[in-house]
Amino acid sequence: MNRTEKIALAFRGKYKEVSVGARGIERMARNPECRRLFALTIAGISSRLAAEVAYRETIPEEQSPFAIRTGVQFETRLFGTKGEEIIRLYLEAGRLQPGEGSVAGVKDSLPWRCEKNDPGRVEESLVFLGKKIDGDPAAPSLILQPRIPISIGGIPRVIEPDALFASPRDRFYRPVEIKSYSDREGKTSSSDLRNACRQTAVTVIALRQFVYARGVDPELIEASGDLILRKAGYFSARLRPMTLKSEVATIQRLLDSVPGRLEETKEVLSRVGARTLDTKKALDALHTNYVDGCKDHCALAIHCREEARACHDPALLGSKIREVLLAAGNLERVLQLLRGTGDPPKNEAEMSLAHQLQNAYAAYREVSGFHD
Amino acid sequence: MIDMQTLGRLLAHERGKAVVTIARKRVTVMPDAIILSTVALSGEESTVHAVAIGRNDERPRVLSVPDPRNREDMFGTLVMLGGYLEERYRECMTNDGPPFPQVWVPSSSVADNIEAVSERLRFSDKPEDRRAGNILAYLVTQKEVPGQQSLMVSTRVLSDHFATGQSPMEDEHLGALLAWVDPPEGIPAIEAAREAEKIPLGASTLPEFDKNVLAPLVDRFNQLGKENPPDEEGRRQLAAAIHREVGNVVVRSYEATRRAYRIMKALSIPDLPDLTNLMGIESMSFQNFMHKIDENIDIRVKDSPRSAVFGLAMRESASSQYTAALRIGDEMARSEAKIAGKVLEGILLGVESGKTLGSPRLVFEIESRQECLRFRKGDSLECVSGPEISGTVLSVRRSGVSTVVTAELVSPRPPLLSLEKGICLEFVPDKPDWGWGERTRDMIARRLASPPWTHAKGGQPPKSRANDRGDLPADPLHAVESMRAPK
Repeated sequence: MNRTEKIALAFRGKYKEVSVGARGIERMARNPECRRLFALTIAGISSRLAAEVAYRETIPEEQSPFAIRTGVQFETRLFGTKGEEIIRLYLEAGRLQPGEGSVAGVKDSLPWRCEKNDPGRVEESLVFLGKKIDGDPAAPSLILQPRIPISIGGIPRVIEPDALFASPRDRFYRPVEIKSYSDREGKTSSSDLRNACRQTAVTVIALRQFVYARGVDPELIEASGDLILRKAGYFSARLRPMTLKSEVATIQRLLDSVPGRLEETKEVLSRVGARTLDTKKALDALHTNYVDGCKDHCALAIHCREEARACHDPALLGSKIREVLLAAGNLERVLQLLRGTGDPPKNEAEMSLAHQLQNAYAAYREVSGFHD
Repeated sequence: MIDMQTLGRLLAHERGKAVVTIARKRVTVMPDAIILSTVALSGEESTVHAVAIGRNDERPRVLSVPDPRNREDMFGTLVMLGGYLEERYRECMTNDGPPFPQVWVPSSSVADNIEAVSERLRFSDKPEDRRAGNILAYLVTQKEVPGQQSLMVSTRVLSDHFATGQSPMEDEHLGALLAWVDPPEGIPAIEAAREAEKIPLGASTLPEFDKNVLAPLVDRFNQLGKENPPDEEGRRQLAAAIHREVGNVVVRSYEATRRAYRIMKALSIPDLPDLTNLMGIESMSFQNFMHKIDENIDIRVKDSPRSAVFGLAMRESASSQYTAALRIGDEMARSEAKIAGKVLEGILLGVESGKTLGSPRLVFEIESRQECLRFRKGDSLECVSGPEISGTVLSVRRSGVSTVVTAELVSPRPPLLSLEKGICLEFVPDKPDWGWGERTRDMIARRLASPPWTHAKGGQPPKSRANDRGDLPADPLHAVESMRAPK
């Protein structure tokens, strides 16, 4: 066990480890500046669990049973046909020729989910990957629910992409993520797509790490993947190839920063006399970066928003406005600059901000007749 | 740059209540407006579980289906919705009816839900389904047009007129937004908003509600239907229970929308002067749409290349005219544009007459003390502070702390000649041209009368004119190199 892994394990305290997987890494990437989310994710603790244990909050249900069932039904339809439905998509897209399309990783008996943590699945998956990188023609075209290792800044974890695909002509596999979002082409939810792409990018990185360990240039693995989305109102599927250059770069940058950040986190915790993340004191000591998108993915969002309110964080007014008001640091100071009260501007940035605020305010009062 | 939205949010945060950020109302609040709210099944955005619809001064009519995954049931309900809306649309075609229908919905999520179901309906092979989809399509195509007056998304309308002390994302919750705009007596807006956001007012239901209330009812309903024979009485009772539960959800958002409507109706701010023009455009769009309905022409989900060209041109026209109308008609918008340097304000330094290629011309200079100015050579100037003067910028130069803009008069002469030096004038880069859209449409129609080679089957690019004259050099590189001056 290396040092980074030991620190992460120590952070866990009395929490039971949750496999945060590619989805957890993707969520962490949505707000890389939030140290609280970072520490919890790397330690393998869900934000929901942290809210319940450290803050003793009752977190409402996150997903509707209807949405869960839709997702399960869609996946069952795709996986339940031994991958035939997925192969059909690739044939229709011309990425496989008739007669091609062997499938691996399928369990004949349900529920195969019970075998999720079976280490044999990792070994099995690595055998298939090894065949492909060695150019073995027997390597399957489609691997369903492989479990592949990923190093998160030196911490070994396992992720389970929905599938991996490679035609006989492809040098190596590319990730396939299945999402039950409605595919409405140009009107598909852009935030859903972005999140799905980021999640897929995590698998690209895992694949690159695999080939690198085999002495092959990781850039051989293209920063791209396939999304399989659901036709609106139906359970039939649509295949969408996606380029993932920026997503892969973002995730890679984040993972590279893990060892350094973990050391910093350890240092911050030690200053408040904490070693684990299972106390309020420990979580409170970690810097957050509340943004209005936090509510979409983090159970601590409401809690962090209250903290932001207490310290008058401009993020309360939105991320764009926070950028504009950065020079002042907090809303109290912004209002002082606006009103010309409190300390005079400390630097050029504050002076410029004060000037802009006062100009805008004068114009506003002139037009609206607004009185304080 | 600090714009009025940023400033407004700061002031609202300070005051603990929303502030108005405009000087002119940007929407016309029609007395016959319809309120519409929908709720979808979680995870299925192209479904409708319940609908509440009615005129703004009446209690809603509530329609629901026990399980919207049953396509036939759901489409049947949507056909009823389409029928109700079509009756309202027909009222707008009468002489004493409103010029176009206006429908208020709670938030973007409901507008998106309506768009998704409209698309789904239009793919149906049943004409009555497609007709309902077409009726809904009017609202959803209008929703993206700047300055449109038909589909009023309450969160957007209120956000266009008020700034709250919370983030734009939080403003998307109608309850939280209303808590800032119209806080309850004695309760700070921030606390009222915190409480309000616990209750969904969009197109989705809470996961806990689904888990504890709705899913058990729907599952039981479906279970009884599978029995042999099906328990019809049991299903009726369950359908009634589902109707009650989702009905409560959708009526809540209906009432919140009605509240938003009333707030906008009561907002005592003068209208944008060009609102009548915007209504005129809206009326024309509606008439064109109803013509298609009457001809049983299906509104396509995906544009053909030809209709995409028209659509894009009209959308760009609407955007330009609306921006120009705001800048001219709304003093707050003009003030903001001035700070951003998009409106020129300065004193008239002088007027000179001269000739260009034998034609007389008038040149005038404006000196401005604005810190930021975004005008450059070739830009248009339209005077908005008094006389009707149009010009074209010839040059922009700094002169100490001022900027001097030299422009050539385009038209007309007498107003400029009668002005005294030192008078303060304000110029915008353009005025709304409400006929531009029609003229562009005609021009595109003429150009596309024969399809361009890029979209014609087996299309070939046109022959080069140089080849026709036969003077293309055999070796173009040598020809160019030979033009170099000898060293």
